[in-house]
Amino acid sequence: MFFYVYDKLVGNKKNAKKFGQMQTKLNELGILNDKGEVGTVNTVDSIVDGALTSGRHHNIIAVGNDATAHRTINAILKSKISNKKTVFGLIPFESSHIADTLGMPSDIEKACLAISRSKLENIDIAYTSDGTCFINSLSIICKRLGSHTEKLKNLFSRQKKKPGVTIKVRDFTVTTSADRISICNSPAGWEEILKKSGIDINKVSPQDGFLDLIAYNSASEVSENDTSFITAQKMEIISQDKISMLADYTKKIQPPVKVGVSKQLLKVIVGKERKF
Amino acid sequence: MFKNNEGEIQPAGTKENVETIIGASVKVEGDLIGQNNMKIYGQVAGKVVTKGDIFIEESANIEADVEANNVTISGTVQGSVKAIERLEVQKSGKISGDIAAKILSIATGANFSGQCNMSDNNSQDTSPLEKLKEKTPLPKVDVREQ
Repeated sequence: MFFYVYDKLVGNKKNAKKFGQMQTKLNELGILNDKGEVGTVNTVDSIVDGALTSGRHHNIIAVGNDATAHRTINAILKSKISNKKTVFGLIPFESSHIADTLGMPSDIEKACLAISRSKLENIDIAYTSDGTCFINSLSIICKRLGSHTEKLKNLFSRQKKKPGVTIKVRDFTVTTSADRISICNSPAGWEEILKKSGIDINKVSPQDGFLDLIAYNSASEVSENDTSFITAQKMEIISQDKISMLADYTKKIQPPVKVGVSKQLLKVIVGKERKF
Repeated sequence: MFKNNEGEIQPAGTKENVETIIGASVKVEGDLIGQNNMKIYGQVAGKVVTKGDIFIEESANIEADVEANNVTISGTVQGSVKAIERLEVQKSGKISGDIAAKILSIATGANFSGQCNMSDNNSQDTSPLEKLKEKTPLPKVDVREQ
């Protein structure tokens, strides 16, 4: 049985046509089963937990965007009831990096078809020391100006301080003030940079049990020597500057934070265009 | 589910056939130890060791001892360099430190200050290729002029 987690955005007027198409297609395919709608009272956590507790649902399908998928995955992984039979799927209503990773088509009907086919793969789950799980990446956002005091200092000193981040990897530390830094489990969102930097996209795989630290400067044209690529299983991010991090482009995390990966922890429904 | 599986994480290691790239904007401190090829454009202070090959590019500034199978230097190295097989110093390369290699190539214009050791015993470790050669000696080929 399939259980669908409908995000609020699914009910938007602009998505009315897509929603109708999805309902019709799922009905046609005979997989329009139970659903839970995210609202002020019903959180993704409570909906997923309820679905798994019922014992009737092993396939939890997020319907929405990256945030919906991210919250649903976290809810599945943190639920005491979820087990090896539990499967995650996504029907994307917006452009989504997680959908790209899983190869779920942006065309709603094709996405429904992929759900019905239920081709399964086990994928790695990255996690942070604050208990957040992610499929795609942990993006590190370095704001050019730091605290209010630093802002004032920078105003008078002409030279704007570029915030830096230190990442501990095995027996060494990496210090960088690159414009874009990410700890990636999947290449989604980084394909163009990896290609231009001469790095094989297949090296960033969500099935290899490794994380990849990618850092590059967006200010100049992307070239190989502007890009860093380091592979490890565990990393720790620290920074004295004011930086923030986004897990799966959704959840904000503050440093210091440790990051690890658990090999092929979650069963997911994939499409033909998956990135692994 | 998540917590229960935390203990299943494999011990730290390095993925096969993956290159490590240290970009120009990156500074590495500590022991950068790997199994695969490395390309360095940025700064490294500490130690760089790999079983693969190392390419120290023109923008790189290394204050570390370097050890690899093959080493190609176009940047600046302050520290000893040990290549199990071949050490190649390009014309833009600068080395301040002792070097050791089986095969050495220093281009015109390169800068080298230190001692050079080209004996076969420059490394206590034996490369995988050498180990293979030791186990299966190459057959003697009888070359006759026709």
